[in-house]
Amino acid sequence: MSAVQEPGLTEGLSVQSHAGFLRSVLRERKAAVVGLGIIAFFVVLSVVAPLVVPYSPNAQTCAVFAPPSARHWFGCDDGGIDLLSEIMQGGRISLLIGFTATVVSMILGGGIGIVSGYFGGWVDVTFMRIVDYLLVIPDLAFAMVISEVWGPSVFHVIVVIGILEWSGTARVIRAQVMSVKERVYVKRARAVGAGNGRVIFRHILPQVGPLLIANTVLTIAVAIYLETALAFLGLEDPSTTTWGTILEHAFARAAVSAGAWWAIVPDGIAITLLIMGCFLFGQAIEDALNPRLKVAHLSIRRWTLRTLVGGAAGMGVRPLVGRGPDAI
Amino acid sequence: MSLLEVRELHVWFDLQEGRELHAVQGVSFGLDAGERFGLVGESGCGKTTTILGLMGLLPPTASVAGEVLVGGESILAGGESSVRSHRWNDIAMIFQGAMNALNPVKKVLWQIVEPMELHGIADGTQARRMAGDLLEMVGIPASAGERYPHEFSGGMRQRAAIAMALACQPKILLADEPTTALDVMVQAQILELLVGLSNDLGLALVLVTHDLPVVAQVCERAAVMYAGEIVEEGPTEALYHAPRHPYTRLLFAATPDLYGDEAVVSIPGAPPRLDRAIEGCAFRPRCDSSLDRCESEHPEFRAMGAGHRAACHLNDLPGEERAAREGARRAGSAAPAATPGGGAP
Repeated sequence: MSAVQEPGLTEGLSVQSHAGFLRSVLRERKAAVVGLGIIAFFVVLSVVAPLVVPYSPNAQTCAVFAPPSARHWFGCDDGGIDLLSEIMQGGRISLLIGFTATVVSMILGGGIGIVSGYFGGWVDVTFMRIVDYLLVIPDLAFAMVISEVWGPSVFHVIVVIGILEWSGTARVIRAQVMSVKERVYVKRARAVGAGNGRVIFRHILPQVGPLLIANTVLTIAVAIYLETALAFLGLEDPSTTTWGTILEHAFARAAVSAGAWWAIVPDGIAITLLIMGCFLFGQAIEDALNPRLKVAHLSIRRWTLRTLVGGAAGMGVRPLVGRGPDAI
Repeated sequence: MSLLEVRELHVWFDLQEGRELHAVQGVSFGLDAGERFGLVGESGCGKTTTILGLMGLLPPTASVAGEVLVGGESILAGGESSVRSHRWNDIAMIFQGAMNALNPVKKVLWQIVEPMELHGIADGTQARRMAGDLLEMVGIPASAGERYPHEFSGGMRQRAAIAMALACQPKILLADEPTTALDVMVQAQILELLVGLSNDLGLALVLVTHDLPVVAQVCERAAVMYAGEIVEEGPTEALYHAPRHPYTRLLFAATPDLYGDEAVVSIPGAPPRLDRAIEGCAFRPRCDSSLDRCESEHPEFRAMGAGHRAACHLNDLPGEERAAREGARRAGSAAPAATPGGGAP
């Protein structure tokens, strides 16, 4: 038996691991770098906030609605509290709520999505009707009702957001699992004798894992947004400082009519930036996950059309599309 | 006693409204260690269903009857639990579209180790070493096992799929269209590999394909399936030179010959629907030499000579008359579709 070696075998192709995948996402997509940078910035800021806040976020250190100055960069709020300190402190709770609520919803959504897609039948029907129900209910209205009934507290907000946000993830994961479980390699694994647990954890989870991560990052954005909205509507514990309650206080104490834009704008920018960062990063992972975009010859992003210089009769071929200077 | 003995295997699929599709209708064959057996026929004639059936891998909508003996032991009798102990240990399979049988996010070596672990043959370093040896055996450097399937070419993936099938040292290997979607060079290499493995390891090989030249090249014996039945079975030589069923003859006539100047003749029509009972011979509507009795009488599968069996009423006619009928029809009705001289061996 002669073993003919396939061409391309000896070329030193790099093995792609999960870390390698992340690195290639960051290398090829600038949006991912920007997004991850923003997220990292806020995470680091939140962690070190208690050490670096210039003033106490709870005590009055300047005049009511004092405008931004060299001593108070972002000005002061209605209680004479330094807004920079308050925003840094508030980010801690906002991020905590965002991340925790997301973890809750990912465990729920990922778990239910996998179980539903894998087992199908009545399990699937039951879970999907619950998902239908949650998808139809307007998020904010539902969150308001629950927060009102349970009373304002950070924990309740986490639970409410967690319960609300898993349904979309469950749908996406379920669809992916239904497709993956029909693939030949999953059937092969079953034929070889792998049980349900092994098939789910060793074969299906690695397949849907990255999708789950992309969904997680996107959900963080939604969770932070929802938290802000709930706090703004006064449904959060008024004694905690979050980005949402800062906005709420500014609004309730008529910062707008007082002309104190600094009570609203920096906080709003922080929220917007973080949400944007999450979207940029999440979207980049999601794009990179699309295997059809990964294969070089199918990618519409990589190729460039070049002008032929000195072609037949001295005529260059003018590109119709592409990134060249002559491109139409 | 044969290593693998399939007796009267039937497979039905449940359809809606209580109807059934009789996909495999009493298939029997057997093979010995080291023997290579081909199962040919056009798409939808039950080749894949037959081998999935004997592996116990059909979906829940299927019901199976018949007996599958591996080394004299009936493996289907006890349902899934009895097949499971034989599957991969005694009888392994290379899936159709084996390129997809590899999990894209797992390293190739891991995937070959998996069946060993599941069957308690080996684990840890020992399993990895055995998997590396298997890769070498199919012509892939063991170090390539640390790569992911997308870094393999089509031929390498097929080789890896074969290594995976061999993980538990089976005695019987079922290869379902192992060379489809590969170019002819790679196809030749894979076939060479399969022949080599069956010689070296004494593997009994069942090769399922619609590619007759592949069967002619690899298998000593073959069976031709039509509409869920084996219509002719015998040594590959005999099937080619002296077919005793019109379907076999027409199948070979429909295969291009590089050296001859005979035209390729197609078989008009399509296989019958299997969700209703078939009266008479299933091939009759497409047959170029049918008799009146073919319409009502189902032909019996009978011995035609040494190891050669066929199910056709024409075989009851004297040799000259049979030849005349085949020739007459070909010159008459079938000819317009074909160019002059179009014919079978």
